Amino acid sequence: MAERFENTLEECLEMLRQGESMEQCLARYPEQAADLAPLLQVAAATQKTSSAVQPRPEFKERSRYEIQSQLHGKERKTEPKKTSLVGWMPRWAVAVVSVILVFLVAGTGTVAASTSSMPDDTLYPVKLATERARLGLTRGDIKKARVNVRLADRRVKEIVYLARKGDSRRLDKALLRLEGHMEAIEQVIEANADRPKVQEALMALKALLEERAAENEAAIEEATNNTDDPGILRRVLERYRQRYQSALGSGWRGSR
Amino acid sequence: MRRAQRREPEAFGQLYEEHFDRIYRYVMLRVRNQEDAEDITQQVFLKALEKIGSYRWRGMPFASWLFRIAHNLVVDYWKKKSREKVAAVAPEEIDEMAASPYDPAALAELNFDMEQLAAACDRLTDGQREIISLRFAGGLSVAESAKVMGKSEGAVKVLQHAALVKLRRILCPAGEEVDG
Repeated sequence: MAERFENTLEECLEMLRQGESMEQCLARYPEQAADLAPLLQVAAATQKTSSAVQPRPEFKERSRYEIQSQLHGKERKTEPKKTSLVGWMPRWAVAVVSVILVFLVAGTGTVAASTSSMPDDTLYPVKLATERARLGLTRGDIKKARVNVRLADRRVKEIVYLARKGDSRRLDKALLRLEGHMEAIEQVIEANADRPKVQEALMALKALLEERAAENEAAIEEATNNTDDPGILRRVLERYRQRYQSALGSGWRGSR
Repeated sequence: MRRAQRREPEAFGQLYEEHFDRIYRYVMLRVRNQEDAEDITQQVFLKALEKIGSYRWRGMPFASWLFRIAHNLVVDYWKKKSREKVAAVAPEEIDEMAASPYDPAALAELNFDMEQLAAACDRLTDGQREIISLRFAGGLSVAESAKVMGKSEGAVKVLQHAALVKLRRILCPAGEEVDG
């Protein structure tokens, strides 16, 4: 009997979903209407309340962008697997070859010049490529995290620059990259939290992160006061704070 | 689906558009915090992108697979938060609500906001909360919900019944008439 009621309830819910009225559902099951009615009411109200919840359009857009970036990134990453020439090579070897190629094709002057390039410069892709190569060549999680701390500094400088120019499209991309660096740092800190052997290096990493975060925060705050649209930088600052505080962890009492 | 598994942006984009709002609503009801819900929703799709190559149908609809990822992330979230368990009311009892007299003319609309709904869901058992979130926020069918929860469809229907009874009792205590 009880099982039959569960089925009836589900049938009524499905009918409501198909657009039938509650009265129509109940008319079909007059003997159980008294038990069904209050449940259908609460189900309909739950459905209505939940449906009213919508993601913020800017969040949805940013998330969509991140997925698309990952998709294109993955495509680039998987390309070598399709070619027999480098498909067998380990990642570090691909990174070495990439750096050599970058140097050969573009010349050392170009690579050096690219380090100070900004996202709207033609050399910016070279900057990102050399950063990826640098990360690829760095051995050890904690050393990689230290590189990410430095790369996060670069992203902050780029964000400040883009805010001054009012280029919110590129700024959003730079913010995603910044969050990527911070997430990578946090993952390393979390993964090594219980490893006694690396505690000294981990503390040094946290101290570096804390020091750089203080300086970067100050730079973003200063830029916030000198831009026509401070809202976007406040959002950057908020995200950045959350990320580095999360990376440092609640137990971190500071290096000073 | 195969195109999405080959990470073709357009194909994966379609899956994203189709499921994004539903996943967000489900997560929002489970974590009750916009910022955390946004983070988790984004993680769901990044994880889905990472794992989609290993997705196999085998009776598991894609929506169930995706909500399973969301479910796991929500579970991790609460573990991380070391959430204090709200004292659960007696589980799975379905006879605790006195049936109110049925009057067809009094089928008034029941109204509550998201905050009230989420607070009420907090007083449900884990399973009840999950089925309410999957069915009414995520918009999954009983069959899809059953796959997410690893239960039979029959068990899910029983759970749904118990959850609605308890929600009703919490949101509209016996004796209180629904506002018309």
